Amino acid sequence: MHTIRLPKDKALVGPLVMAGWLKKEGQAISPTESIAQIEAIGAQVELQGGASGTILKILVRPGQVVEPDQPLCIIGEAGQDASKVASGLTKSEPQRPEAQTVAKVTSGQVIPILMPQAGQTMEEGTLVAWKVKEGDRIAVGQVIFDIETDKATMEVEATDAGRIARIVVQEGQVVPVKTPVAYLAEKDADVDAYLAVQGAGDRTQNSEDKGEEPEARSQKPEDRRQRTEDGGRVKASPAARKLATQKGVDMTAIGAGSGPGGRILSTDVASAKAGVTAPKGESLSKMRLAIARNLLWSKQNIPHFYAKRVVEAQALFATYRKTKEQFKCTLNDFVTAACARAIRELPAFRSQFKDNTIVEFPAVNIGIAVGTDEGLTVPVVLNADRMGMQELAQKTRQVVESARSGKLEGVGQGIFTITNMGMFGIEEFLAIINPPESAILAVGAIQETVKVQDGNILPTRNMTLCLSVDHRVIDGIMSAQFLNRVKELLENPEQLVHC
Amino acid sequence: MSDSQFDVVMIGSGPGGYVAALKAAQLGAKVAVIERHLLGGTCLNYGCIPSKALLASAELLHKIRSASELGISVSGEVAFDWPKIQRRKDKVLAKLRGGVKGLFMARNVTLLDGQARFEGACRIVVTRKDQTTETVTARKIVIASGSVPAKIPGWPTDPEQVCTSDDALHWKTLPGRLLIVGGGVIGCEFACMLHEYGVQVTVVEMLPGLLPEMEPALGEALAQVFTQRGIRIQTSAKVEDLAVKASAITARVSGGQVIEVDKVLVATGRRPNTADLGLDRVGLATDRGFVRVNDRMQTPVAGVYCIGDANGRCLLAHAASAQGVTAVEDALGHGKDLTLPVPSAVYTFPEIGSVGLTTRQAGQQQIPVSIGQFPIGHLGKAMAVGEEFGFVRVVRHREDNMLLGVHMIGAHATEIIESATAMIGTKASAADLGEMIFAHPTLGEAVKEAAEDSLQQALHLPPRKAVRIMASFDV
Repeated sequence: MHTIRLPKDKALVGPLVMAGWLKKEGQAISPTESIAQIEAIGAQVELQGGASGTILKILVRPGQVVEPDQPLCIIGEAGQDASKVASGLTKSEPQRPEAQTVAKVTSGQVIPILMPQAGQTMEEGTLVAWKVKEGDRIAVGQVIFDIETDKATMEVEATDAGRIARIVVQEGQVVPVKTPVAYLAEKDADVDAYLAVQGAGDRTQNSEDKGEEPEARSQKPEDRRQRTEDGGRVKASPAARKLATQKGVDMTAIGAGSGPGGRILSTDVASAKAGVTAPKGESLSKMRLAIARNLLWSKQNIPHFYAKRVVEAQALFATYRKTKEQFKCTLNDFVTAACARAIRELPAFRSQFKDNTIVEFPAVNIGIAVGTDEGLTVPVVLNADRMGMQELAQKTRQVVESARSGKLEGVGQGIFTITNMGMFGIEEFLAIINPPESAILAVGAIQETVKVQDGNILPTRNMTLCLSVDHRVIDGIMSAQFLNRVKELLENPEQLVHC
Repeated sequence: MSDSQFDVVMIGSGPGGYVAALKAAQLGAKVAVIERHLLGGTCLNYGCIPSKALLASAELLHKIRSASELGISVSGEVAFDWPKIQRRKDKVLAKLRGGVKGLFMARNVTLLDGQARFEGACRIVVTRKDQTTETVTARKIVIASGSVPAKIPGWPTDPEQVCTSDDALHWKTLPGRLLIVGGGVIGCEFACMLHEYGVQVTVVEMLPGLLPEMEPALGEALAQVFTQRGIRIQTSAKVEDLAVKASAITARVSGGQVIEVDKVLVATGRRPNTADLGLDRVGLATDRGFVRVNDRMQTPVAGVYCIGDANGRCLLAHAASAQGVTAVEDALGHGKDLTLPVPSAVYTFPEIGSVGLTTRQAGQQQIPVSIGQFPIGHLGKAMAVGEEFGFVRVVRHREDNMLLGVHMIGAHATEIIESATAMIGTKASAADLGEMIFAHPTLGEAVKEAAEDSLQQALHLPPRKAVRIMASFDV
């Protein structure tokens, strides 16, 4: 076996870069045959083999900086094992002395802390909040961070004790399961050494960098928003603009680029698809994926039908005005109370279709649809029919606030959902049932209108309720009974307040 | 809040501490700076600024001596007045200290004279020169105590014989013969300057080249210039032994050579200045004196930050300033990681400017690169002004074109490198840099050309020669 080396030659003015191999491993070479191209200052060098044989192992990759006398490949007879020679070469290579201001500390033990896999279907999780910081000592069983999956928010406990040397996944980032989120080590330098061995941060751009964070998507909406400034100017490098024009890529469709402040770089354009009308792509958050999955399933599998009823809300509005100080309640709380009463009286609305049977549930647990920045969530008020107005209002406020801050209460226990777009001025709308429930009530805005009574035109207020029901469980007559009962209660709201 | 209670307190008023203080004040905090010596720290008093003042006179001297190249005849002896050069430097320093003081007053930053010592995580005792003490409390504390020149254990401690840059910048008289131990940035700047003032200089460097932390070709080119001028350089060499006699100092260098000099300047590096701060009182451990921090300059102790030389990340004034801003922004709730590239500048003549990845680092980290290089002497401006020495080298990522490093030696390199720093800081590609319009004629055009050469698109270079070479082989 022979080791082929870069010769010392006057034409090789450094720095030298291996530009590419003209031969592959397993191919035969002869002394005068060109085997590789080397870039030198002012010269493009074709390197001839110098010897005959089969290339057994290539030791330098294209783009690698090389020096005269450096081994480039090992040749021999086809089939020979060159691994021993190769490992010998790499070991005996003279190491340049490390010229660093700060001496590297000898490598101690480093334990990565991983994003746990909570449940078999979990593929990635959002790191919601750190409970510890760099430099803290942690004990086994101590809660160290919170994660959010498509199903729940949960606390993660430490499985190893030690000192948190480095946190690499920040709050709000989404990472695949089993990705390191932090490292335990006695000394920070150990982590550097560990990461270097792991090959992390190999795109370090300057000597001060301390290894880059693993690739992670940020869930903060502002991070993904397209940066257009002052009259919609897209922030992009000149080369990116040129490439975009050449490729016919719409820069506004690329979204935020990978440069500072979302500046679009030529590399972003290179990976973007051409087409002037290219839509803006965005990978879904856990919550949006869950919404997509659930609602699609609902529309495809539940035979929905809809019933509408207009409620005269004059008395309701007056009662609400009168009692809102006392009970700290909202208009929607009256709707919840009315529905709770009606559901208690009509068992079909507490029933669910399951495996060709209809299962009746005793408790009147009502879900309240809450829109958040991340999407739709439905916290549940348990046993809503057993509460007075004040308690109901207080409990609803509490579960809604928790939901807004990311903690969902009563998950999976709801039997009916109320969704209200009245505060946005929506007059009426049809909602999709939140499975496995059997009905959902869409509440519209209270509007001023007039009514004709005894030949007189009187001012009044109306509110439209639209009920969506699962026809497998509930028939038209039941939905009419329900809506009429709710209408009766809302038009006589004293019954809801005094009970 | 009483007079001794602050939102943020800086320990040290160097380019880390004073900039951090101004930033914190700008963000609305009540700020104090504790300084035991001179306002402005090492940079202003014992580093960047005084050395540049002395170098300016030396460079002018050098230019006058080579004036005939540009058709100017200087009749008579060209002389310099060392005490006057020193006085000018002292005036510059006084003016700058006044400037910092003025900025402090304008932003209501309290300056406390004395030695700081931790008494708790948010309590610091300041001991004044007259030994009276004052206790201040702070919500956040930024350690910005900097570094001091390293000394060699066992060597004479009399600064008349063996000194450091601290002493050499304020010499009353110049030595006849000087041995500089260490061929890093400080060693090279002193060698370049003192040679011009007639000192016979020998530089001994343990590693194989000058400026060992930078792109190797820069140190090689500088060594070539120095040698031509008559500065003696010994690399891969060590001062084995030092014998001090009344008349002279004899140094035995590895290989047996003996050098006789009048003074020795130790320029082997700097060590952190953290020993007197009582860090153990808050449980803050150090790593050889350096206080380790994360990318937000946070130490393991909550509310305590460390910036600049004292954290050992990058011993440069501008790195300290940037870290200072990062630290106080984090302390006051605007935190973000500091990951920008830090340029290096060497103020020899010719100057050196460097930012980002070197070819050696690319090799060690196995990053696929392409390299472009452009000789400054090819530029019209360089020929016109008689500054033809030097080159610019550009390292780009081979696959995505990203600019990784730019390294240059030549006139005004420390100024020209800023353009490359800005481009790398914005994550531009070599194509981005190559497409920019540079003013003509300027020396900076070499940066653009070198970027283009890394893509094999430079217009002011001939196409690369096609050469065929036979590989060598062994058994």
